[in-house]
Amino acid sequence: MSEWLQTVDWPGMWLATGQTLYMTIISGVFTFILGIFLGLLLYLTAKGGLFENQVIYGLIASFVNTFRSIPFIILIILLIPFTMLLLGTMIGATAALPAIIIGSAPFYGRLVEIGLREVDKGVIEAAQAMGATRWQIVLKVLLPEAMPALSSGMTVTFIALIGNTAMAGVIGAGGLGTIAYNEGFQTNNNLITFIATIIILVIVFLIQYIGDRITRRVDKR
Amino acid sequence: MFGIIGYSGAGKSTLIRLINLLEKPTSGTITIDGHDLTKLNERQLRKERRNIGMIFQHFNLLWSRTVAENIALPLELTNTNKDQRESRIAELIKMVGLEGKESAYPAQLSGGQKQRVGIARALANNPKVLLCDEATSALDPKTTDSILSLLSSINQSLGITILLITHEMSVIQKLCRRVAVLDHGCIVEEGSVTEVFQHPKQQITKEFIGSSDDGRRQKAARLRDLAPKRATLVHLSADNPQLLQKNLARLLANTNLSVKVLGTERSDKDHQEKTLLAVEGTIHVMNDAFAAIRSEHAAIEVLNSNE
Repeated sequence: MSEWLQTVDWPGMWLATGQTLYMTIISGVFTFILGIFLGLLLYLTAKGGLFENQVIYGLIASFVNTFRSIPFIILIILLIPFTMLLLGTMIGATAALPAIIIGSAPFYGRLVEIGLREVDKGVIEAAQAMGATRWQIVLKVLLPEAMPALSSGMTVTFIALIGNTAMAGVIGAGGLGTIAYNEGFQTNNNLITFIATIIILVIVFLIQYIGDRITRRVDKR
Repeated sequence: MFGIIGYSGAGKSTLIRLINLLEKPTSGTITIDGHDLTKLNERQLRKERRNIGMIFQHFNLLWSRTVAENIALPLELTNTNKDQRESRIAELIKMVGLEGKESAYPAQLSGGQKQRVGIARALANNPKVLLCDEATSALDPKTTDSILSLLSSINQSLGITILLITHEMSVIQKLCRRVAVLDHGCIVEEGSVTEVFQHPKQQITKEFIGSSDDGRRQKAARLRDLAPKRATLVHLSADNPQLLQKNLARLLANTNLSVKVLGTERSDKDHQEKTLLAVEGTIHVMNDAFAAIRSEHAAIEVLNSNE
């Protein structure tokens, strides 16, 4: 068994794990910021919203729907010119980031929108009755009150992100996806695929655990 | 203190929400302290709203904030500095009697305590008017009383005009000097509370008075008229219906006593529904029977005594 395990290129495996974590964390941060921005725009410009604006709502909604419905593997290819323009390359972990972020942010944006809709209308009304400006309502009422939904939504998004980083691996992003595909699948070395999968599973479980803890901590209901 | 009463759907909430323009009127004007609110732009309206406190039926507290932080919200909106904010919060917490609960979250509070936070929050910026939108409708009778007396003391000590809407006549009776009766969006009757109570003109007003404490007392008096002249009136109550049934059966089975069940009424003491009985018999037999019931985890309370 141990001899068998020695056939694995461990330094390479850990390097790939690092690349996967790098892609997940960086794209997670950007997805979070961009998703909150999109979600807020959707919520605020929707009918009856604080900044009701049908034109902006229509634009954002169609952007979100378009990028949510394109399969990720196709999105990566479609975005190659954009990535080239932005980073000058299309190989490597960093080059995978734009596609991962653009694929995930609209998804998280919808989750943010749902979370904001669940904030009690009465609380918003109370803030209006106190003389709050619309931005004060957004910053002091809407976002803090929606925090548990934003946090649990981010946990779900993070896990979807890991799937995307693995898929990006197939077109040369590096990371555990690349190892599992190039060294595992294509050379028929099932052990490599298996180990890469186990590491991905551990990362997923860890993120779910941390996400649940954060959600529980911010939820004072 | 001015009260507005009406049934659900009469337009009470709309009326009170019009006052701070949470609801925009299609025509007409709203004047508070000489300012016509409908003529203000958004910024001026926000400034004016700070002079109008509001409390709600469902409290509308931010559950992500502690008691102190909830009260701080209106002060943060006006950019009050931190020191002033803290001293004001301490003052308000004391005023509404929530000392020691500063860092509790709304989810850890009872309904009455939540409404106290709501009141403190509404008063934070020293408003001239306090609007109460069914402020006690989600509370039990005892808590309602405590909130009402808090409102009344605020009205007297701070000299704030309080406008409250409710569907309970007892609330109006306890607090208000003037009352308006609202029906299908129109004020059908208005005047001082004593005058409206003594000489109600509209049918709907009479209905509300009938449902009030006075009305209940009249109904209770009619119930008691059914009792035989010399009978002792008692309230029987127990923790659960089975226990009540069991003890009632025991009492009725006692051949040395004549027991008549008159009906149920709400006790003035603890606002619980109780069974009203008329009991006849010698004092010793009666006392023995009552003592037996008390030892059986039921309560019996003698309302009158003919000895």
